[in-house]
Amino acid sequence: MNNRAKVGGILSIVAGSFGILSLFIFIFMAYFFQTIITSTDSNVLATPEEQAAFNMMSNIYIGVGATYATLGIFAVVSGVLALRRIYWGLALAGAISATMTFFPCGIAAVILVAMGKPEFDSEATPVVEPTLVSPSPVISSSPPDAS
Amino acid sequence: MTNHAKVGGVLSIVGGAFGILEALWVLFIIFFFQYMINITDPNAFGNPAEGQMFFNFFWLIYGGMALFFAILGILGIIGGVYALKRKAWGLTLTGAIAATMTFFPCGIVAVIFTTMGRQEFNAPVAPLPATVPPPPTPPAA
Repeated sequence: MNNRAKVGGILSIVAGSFGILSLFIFIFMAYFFQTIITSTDSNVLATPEEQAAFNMMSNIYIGVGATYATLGIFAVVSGVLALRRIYWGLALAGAISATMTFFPCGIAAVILVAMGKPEFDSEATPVVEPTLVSPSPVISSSPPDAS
Repeated sequence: MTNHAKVGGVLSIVGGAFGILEALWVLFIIFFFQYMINITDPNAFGNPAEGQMFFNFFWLIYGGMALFFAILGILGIIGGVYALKRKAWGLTLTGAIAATMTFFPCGIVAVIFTTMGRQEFNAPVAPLPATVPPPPTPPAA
């Protein structure tokens, strides 16, 4: 059996981690801009309108980061499913979301998960439990004793 | 035989066509922007020399974007055509990935279908049945 599903799952998890990391980067950027602006010119955010505009910008940044984080979490979960070789459709959907968070890893994950579909199918087949078979009675071929 | 390669090829061509359209759209934006500036305020960027330098810079950035989208679009279309012919799986997959960059919804589905249809590319083409000439008719007595 190939390991395409496994590699695809790992790539999906890596790309998903980048997506989760994006949330922190966007939050950091929002605070960074606020710090830079207030430290360079204290009169920039003096009026309520300017403050409201800056809050709106921060909210947009955090919203974009949250979107990336959601996609990343989905990609990580689906990567784990790909490692376990269950739920091929969900694993593929997670790889697609990984493409949105980090394209190079995500597109490779999509290709490998799609190529590894037979691995999912082979794992999904029900396992037949071995059953204990009672030994059949031995039939002797010799004729019954006449005495 | 499944038709995964065929569907992937069509989607790749659609994604490539979107890439060509995006390139044309970016070129239109350049012309439109330059035209609007020239008829409204020709001295918007100071003296004409500075304005011309700005437009050259603008052309460089947007022209590069248009070229990028056009190359991706052409690659997507070529990959799609090869997918329809079921030849050169690697080139087909490359075209599908390029189509993903130009139009994501079509491109990502093209990537999936092209990947799933890999066996169709390797499958040998069935030979056409040989035509058997009709048996010669015996001469009439």
